[in-house]
Amino acid sequence: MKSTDKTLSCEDVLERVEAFVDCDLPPDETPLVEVHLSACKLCADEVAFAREMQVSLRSFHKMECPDRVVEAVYRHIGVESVQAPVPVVSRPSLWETIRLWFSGPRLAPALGFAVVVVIAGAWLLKPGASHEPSEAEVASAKRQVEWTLAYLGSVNEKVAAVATGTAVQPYIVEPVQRAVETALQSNSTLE
Amino acid sequence: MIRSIHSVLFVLFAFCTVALCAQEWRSSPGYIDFGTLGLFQGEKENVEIFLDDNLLEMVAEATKDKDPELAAELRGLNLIQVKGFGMRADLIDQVSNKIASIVSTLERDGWKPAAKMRMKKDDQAHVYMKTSGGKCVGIIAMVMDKEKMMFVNIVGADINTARLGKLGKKFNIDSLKDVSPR
Repeated sequence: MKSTDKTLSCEDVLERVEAFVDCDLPPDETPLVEVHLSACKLCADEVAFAREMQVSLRSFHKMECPDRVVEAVYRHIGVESVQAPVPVVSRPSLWETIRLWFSGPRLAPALGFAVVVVIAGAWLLKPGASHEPSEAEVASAKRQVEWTLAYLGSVNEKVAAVATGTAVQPYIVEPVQRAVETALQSNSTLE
Repeated sequence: MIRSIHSVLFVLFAFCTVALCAQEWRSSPGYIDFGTLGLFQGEKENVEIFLDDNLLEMVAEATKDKDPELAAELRGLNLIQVKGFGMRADLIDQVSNKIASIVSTLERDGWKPAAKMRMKKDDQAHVYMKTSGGKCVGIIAMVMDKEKMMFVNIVGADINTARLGKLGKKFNIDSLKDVSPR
């Protein structure tokens, strides 16, 4: 395909494939390439291949050049290492972190923080602290206290009455009464 | 990021610890969690009283002039809780068995019987006390009759049972029938 003023040849298009796939073509050239691709299967296949390559390359894992290779290159070209090797530092454990908080110059702020947390917690989470009972609630609570105490009192009275009726009266009071009466009768008979 | 998570966990732990410590009654040996008894599953309670130390202190403050005895007694208490359920004939056997099971659990946990009354299966009352260091720290009353099942738990640091009984006599239960504890 020959190039004219308003059309591109295959050679022109193949030169522009990379830029076209990367959307880097000048705005006036993009439609011309698209027109050519719509009519030329060969170039369209080239563009499709380029796109596949682009996707494949982007899906590769990012790989880093090993430090020793970088160092060897620097040595070879006689330049000092731009960046010193970073020492490997293991992440401190939770307890190590807490120990670090409560040691050295961090001790005072850490203790202060702990005190604030405890005081704030006690104030915020103490039952009822955030909710001051109204007068009506207190009056209702008073009635409930009275009711509970009265109920306990009635239970005690009932238990005591039952104990008196079932145990104290038949097994203690009545036998004692009978014994006393018998003793009094025999005493009067003797007299 | 990890450090931030640790900090948040630490703060939450501290808050929870403080919250639990603030509810003294929860750690008292005289406290019983009615929910763990499994007695009222599916039954709707018709009496429920839950007065914690904060509310009891408010009541004590409100009554200190008119009723100093009551105020003094309330200041020694940490919790009053009551749960009551309507009784049905078909539940009597089940509840009676459950009470027997609870009684043995209480006795195993060191609760001492203060009063017991068991006239019939559907008419019984049990009053238990828990002592610690020679002081009464908890009272539990379980009462069952044909109409209702009531559980009362009073928690304190040093409950004066004699004074509590005296106060109980002072209030007439019949005159308090209009109390709607819910």
